[in-house]
Amino acid sequence: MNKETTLLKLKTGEKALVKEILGGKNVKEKLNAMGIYPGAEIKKSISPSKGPIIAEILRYKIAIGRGMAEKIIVYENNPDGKS
Amino acid sequence: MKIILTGNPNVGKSVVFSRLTNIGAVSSNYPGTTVEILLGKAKLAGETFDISDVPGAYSLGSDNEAERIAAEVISSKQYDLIIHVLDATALERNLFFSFSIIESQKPVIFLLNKSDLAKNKGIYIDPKKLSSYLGVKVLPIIATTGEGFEELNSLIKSFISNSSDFIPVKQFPKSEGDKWKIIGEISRSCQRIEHKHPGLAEKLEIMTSTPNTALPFAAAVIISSFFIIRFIGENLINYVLDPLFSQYYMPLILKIKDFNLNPLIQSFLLGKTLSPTESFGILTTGIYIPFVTVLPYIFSFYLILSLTEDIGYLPRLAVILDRFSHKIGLHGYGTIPLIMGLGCKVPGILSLRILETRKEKIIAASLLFLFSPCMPQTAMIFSILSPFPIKYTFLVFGYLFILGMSAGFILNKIIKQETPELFMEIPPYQIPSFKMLIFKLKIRLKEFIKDAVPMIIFGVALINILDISGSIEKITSFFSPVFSRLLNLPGEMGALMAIGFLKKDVSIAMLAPFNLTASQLVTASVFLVSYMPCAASLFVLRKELGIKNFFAAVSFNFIISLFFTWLLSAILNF
Ligand SMILES: Nc1nc2c(ncn2[C@@H]2O[C@H](COP(=O)(O)OP(=O)(O)OP(=O)(O)O)[C@@H](O)[C@H]2O)c(=O)[nH]1
Ligand SMILES: [Mg+2]
Repeated sequence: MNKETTLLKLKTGEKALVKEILGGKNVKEKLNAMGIYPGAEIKKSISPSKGPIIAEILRYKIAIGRGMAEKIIVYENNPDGKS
Repeated sequence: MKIILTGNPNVGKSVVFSRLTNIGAVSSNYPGTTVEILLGKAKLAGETFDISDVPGAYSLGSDNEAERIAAEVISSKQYDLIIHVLDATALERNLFFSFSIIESQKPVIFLLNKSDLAKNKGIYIDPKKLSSYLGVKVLPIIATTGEGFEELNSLIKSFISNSSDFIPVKQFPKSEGDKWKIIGEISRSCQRIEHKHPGLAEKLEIMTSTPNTALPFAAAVIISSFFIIRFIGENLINYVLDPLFSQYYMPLILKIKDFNLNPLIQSFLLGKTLSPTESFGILTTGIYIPFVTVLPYIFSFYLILSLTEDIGYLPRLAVILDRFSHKIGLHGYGTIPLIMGLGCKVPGILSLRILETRKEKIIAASLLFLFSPCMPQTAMIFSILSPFPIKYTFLVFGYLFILGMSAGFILNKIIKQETPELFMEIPPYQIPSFKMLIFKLKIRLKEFIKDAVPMIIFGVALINILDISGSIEKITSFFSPVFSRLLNLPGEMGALMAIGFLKKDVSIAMLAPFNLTASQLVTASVFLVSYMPCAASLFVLRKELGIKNFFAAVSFNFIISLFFTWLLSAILNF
């Protein structure tokens, strides 16, 4: 079973599939243009306890503020964290 | 005929532009280097084209000024050909924006740039397949070495003879979900990826992005930059430029005395004393300040900045500073204009365009003026405080930092608007190319010599004339009460303020003849740096912020500066 969580809570090094993005049309469009849309694969590269997180999508890295990362709902598809 | 260069940020458009036009365009390894349209001419296939380097964008629906400019240019259709640049190391994301270009139904050539990097990463893209999938011409290139530019030239030749061949032939779905589906298909059939082991870059990545190690690293980078810049600058002055000036230039210039010119003219040219820092003659001080005191620091600052930019450290620094920046109403990206401003305010102000909200722009603009003195000012502060222990120099910069932070806290409380969250691409680290570094350094030095040097000489000339005509005394007596009572500085500071408005480095240089104490120099420097931006940056700021925000920012700035200088002088004279 795939567990649902947010990009913010996802652990370092784990991959996940984006389930949905909470928030307005603007945020969705902005994320979509960068390759973050329902169904996209995303990997958490760095998750500090404070400050923005860094994720990897489509072989490039992106820094995302914590509030925004919380609005990105993902399916944890790799519970052991190994790819 | 007109060509525009489009693409995602940081794909190499400006490198392509420089190569085609021979105009130096600044390129750096972070998104948002180009924030305004650059125009140039290029001779391609025997014909002259007007080429525009357009700011990068991820989509046409934009949320900052730079992207808005890009969207406007693209939808204006006022061009004959689009040269669309893609980063081969991140094909999929680049393709998403490419669909908007294809939709515009204008002739287009796709350049698949950074082929060298892609290969290093084990990414192989078949340009022919990609071309037939997309229905446009695709050409792999390496902009930094010039590989593929001959082929581009032949493509342009066929464009001239038959431009309709270059209009995209395929239609793509409008829905965004479907676009990503097609991108997935294209990626699977045109691209092959070999797994590579994470190298040194990946280790550096982790070290410079994980807070425990990244914070000390950032501190080390900032502090060592300060010392390296000072070291290079100081040594260039002491061992190269000052000896050149005093041993070769001065004896030559002093021959003017042999002509027995009118004393007024002679004192205009050579000044009253012999010291090149105190005479204010246009041929003595007017040359000494820009070329001996300031230029070495401009050189060493831009050397270090360019290196940091090209390696790709700035976006990481922005991420690390993000949490802290939010306390002063900015997000981490807002620190980039501030860093630019340490060189010269004008590019700093222009790069405010990468920020989204009015609040961030006002705060970043204020901080730009309050706590990031431009290099010429910094150089003058170094120079004027060089006879004293280095703690005074630190005091100036440390106090400016506190001043700026306090202003940020206040503005963050006053302006009620949400600061958007950080959301920015982090380009991979790269080994900077020496050639590109020198190229960029040349552009920036040329700019300084072209824009700043004449203004410095003009400022020195003006002071000289005011002095000869006796007007300085009048200005002095007018401002005297403020400066002598409030700030414990000589009344002549009023004249410095009037000049400082034109050229701030000159106003700091003018402190030299007053024989001030170290504390007075510190107070005066803090005030002259922060009270108001120079004329050139005021002009640009008004254009960028609009008249209302501009006045708000400038008056706030003045009040804060006056208050903090007063506080400093009170503390120092306690
Ligand atoms: N290895 C490699 N690096 C490249 C190539 N082309 C550009 N670069 C580097 O990529 C970075 C970005 O280049 P720019 O020309 O500033 O990119 P841009 O598209 O103008 O970016 P914005 O102005 O931010 O939209 C710079 O550090 C360049 O040196 C290439 O073909 N190979
Ligand atoms: Mg550019």
